[in-house]
Amino acid sequence: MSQPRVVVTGIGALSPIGVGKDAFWEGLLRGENGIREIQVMDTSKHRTHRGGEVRSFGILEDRWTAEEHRLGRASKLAIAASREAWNDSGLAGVKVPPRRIGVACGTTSGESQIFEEEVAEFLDRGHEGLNINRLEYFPVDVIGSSIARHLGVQGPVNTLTTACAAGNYAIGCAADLLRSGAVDVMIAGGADMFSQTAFTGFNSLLAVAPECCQPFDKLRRGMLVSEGAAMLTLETLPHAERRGSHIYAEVLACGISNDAHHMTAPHPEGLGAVTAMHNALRESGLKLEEIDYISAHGTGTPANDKVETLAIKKVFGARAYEIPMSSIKSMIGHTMGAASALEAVACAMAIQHRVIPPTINYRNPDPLCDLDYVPNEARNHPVTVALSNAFAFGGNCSTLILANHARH
Amino acid sequence: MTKRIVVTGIGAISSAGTGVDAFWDALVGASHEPQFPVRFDTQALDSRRAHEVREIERTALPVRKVAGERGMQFAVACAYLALKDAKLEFDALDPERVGVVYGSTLEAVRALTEFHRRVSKEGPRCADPGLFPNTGMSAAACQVSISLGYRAFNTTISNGATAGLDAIIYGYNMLLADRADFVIAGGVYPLCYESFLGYMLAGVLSPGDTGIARPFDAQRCGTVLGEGGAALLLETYESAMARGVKPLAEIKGGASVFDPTTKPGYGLQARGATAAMQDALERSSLSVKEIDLVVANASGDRAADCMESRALLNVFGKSDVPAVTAPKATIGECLSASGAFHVAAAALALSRSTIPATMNFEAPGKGCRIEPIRQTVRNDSLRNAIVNSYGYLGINTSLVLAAA
Repeated sequence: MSQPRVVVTGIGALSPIGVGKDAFWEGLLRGENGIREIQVMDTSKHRTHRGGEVRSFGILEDRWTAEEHRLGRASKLAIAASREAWNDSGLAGVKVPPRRIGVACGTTSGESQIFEEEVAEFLDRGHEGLNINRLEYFPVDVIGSSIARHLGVQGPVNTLTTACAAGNYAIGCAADLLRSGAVDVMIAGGADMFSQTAFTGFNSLLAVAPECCQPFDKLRRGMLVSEGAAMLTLETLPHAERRGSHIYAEVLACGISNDAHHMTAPHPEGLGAVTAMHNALRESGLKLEEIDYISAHGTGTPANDKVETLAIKKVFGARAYEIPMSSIKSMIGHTMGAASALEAVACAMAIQHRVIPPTINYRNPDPLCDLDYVPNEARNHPVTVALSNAFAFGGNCSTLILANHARH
Repeated sequence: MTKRIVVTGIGAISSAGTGVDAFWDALVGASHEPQFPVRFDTQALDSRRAHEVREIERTALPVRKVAGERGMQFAVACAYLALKDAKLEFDALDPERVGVVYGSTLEAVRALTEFHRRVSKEGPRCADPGLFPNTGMSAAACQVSISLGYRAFNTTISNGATAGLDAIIYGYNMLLADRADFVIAGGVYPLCYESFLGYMLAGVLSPGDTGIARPFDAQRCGTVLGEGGAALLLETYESAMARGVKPLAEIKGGASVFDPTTKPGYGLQARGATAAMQDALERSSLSVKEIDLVVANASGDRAADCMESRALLNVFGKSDVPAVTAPKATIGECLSASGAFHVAAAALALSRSTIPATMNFEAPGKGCRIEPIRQTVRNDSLRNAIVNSYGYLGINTSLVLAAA
């Protein structure tokens, strides 16, 4: 096959447990809980009051251009992560034709904060209350476009909105474009700011836990709404090797599927999840025994964790019990469109550092969730191949497989 | 050997009616003017007309009722129509080998507004759990999979006004990568009061009672919004031959180029728009002389039309611009659905050997030097068409189609 291999050469991450990829990774290894009382909105009339927030924009804290200053929070989180990934990959000093560099960013709620502020004015005062100079930054294509504008790149720019699986969809889309030969470099990942709509909506579905996120625990009570961003620099292997770049991992495959079942509930047998994992495994050409670590979707809702466990058993059979599997959502909450991108970062770092981040808040075993969830403490474990699941509203399922590029 | 990807079916729900023939009849000259919307009142606004979809005919839906917002209904209806047009029974396909991709950006604005209206009136504990899922931008595409059962992939591209065309390129790439045997690729945009208001306040709508869109015209004064959905059934040439179905057109290649101007807006140097057409031609292995038709992005927008005019002159040269048609004068600016409508128009033009007219054009000017085709003409030698979509934030996408 003449298609080039695709590798990760740069990482940027902003999360409730740390801003910057190293702070994020150290937080994961410490098993830090990033869930706090929510500051960004008044929760006094809501059922729950806790969530995850990002405390700074990291390397770009006060360095916005006048134009960027006007952007919404999701775009800023996305740009900050992209800038870190760009710098980390060492592309800043390299001449790559700008048309050979593209962007793929996933998001769930987009700039929902702008919408929430403007709709409050609109409901209060009618269209006299609307500020068009602010609304202009609401349509979600602003996120991908703002990253491209910030980096000055001219290749294909896509903003993908496949809800909570959007990060994986963006990484998969980017890998496909790289393999097709249309581009040499892609900045890909996901971003979401803390959305009042998501917080209120998931609460209305009674899907939010009051205190903490306890994936796979018998007493788990739901997800925690959160925010964050992660972007990865992806390149074709020849391009990365030619410039002597550091390589974190190889993107082996991104399998996607859809439950074709229900807008909010997962398929009871995990139909889409199983297909996504099968698609990814087939595309990677790997055997089941070669998977060393599973980064779970693991939201902490009763339904997800049960169905995901079931789906993994269907795919891996007896081997399922031997693969360590953790949910970093236990620490950072559900960062929506950023979640699977942050999980991809965790997988790349796990491959690099040979450590698996834990599932914290795990106390009570559930007979329906009986796999090895790496409870409460990070574990030294060589990871050559990592598989990362992300599932979403509307039945969208995705499985990303990352591997040590020098594994053979 | 690269696979050839063809269009074998088209589904369209437009202000001209349900189905591809209603859409085509409007393009080639049936009188079709924007109306005062019936779903919301524009009488007190500065712009008052739009191309509204009045109803979706019952025959366009696979089941008696499709749940959810109008954008979700458009998506399911045009997917179902595209399958029928391609002579496929929707429930006879292997669901794991049919993929869905839609362009959709502002589809959820009405649902979002209603969600917040109730929260603001009755408090957050009374938020509507049934409406919440419909506030997601992927709801339209997902409803297609839920209604028709398709599971190969289900993707939503939210690139604004280029989303429909970008979705078709995504679907084309998915077929090349063998992730599906059949792909339903399209775009949807449902009008609502809130997004109409947003565009009006942004100053892009043609003002007043008459509200006419004049692509490339010296008197153009803004665009007129339309709505609806369009979907294409894509498959490999071999698959179409094996089924004994004659393709409507072949997709040769597409390209998207970002124009990183310092601020959002249409880059008047047209660097991105020029490069997108050139890259699309290169990927199609076609020269400019082999293009016989341009399905233009032009909508009557002052800046965007000017940029496109310049790009066309850059690519084709001052005296060699092929026939240009601008469907937005007829069906309106349908935002994330526009690209899909335009590919549908190009495929129909190639398969029916006819170039549809551009309405409301009198004379070029105000930075535009393009004269689109004013009267529908029969042309039996159409070989290739190029389709353009441009977004205010800097995305420029072009796609080349060939007669099958």
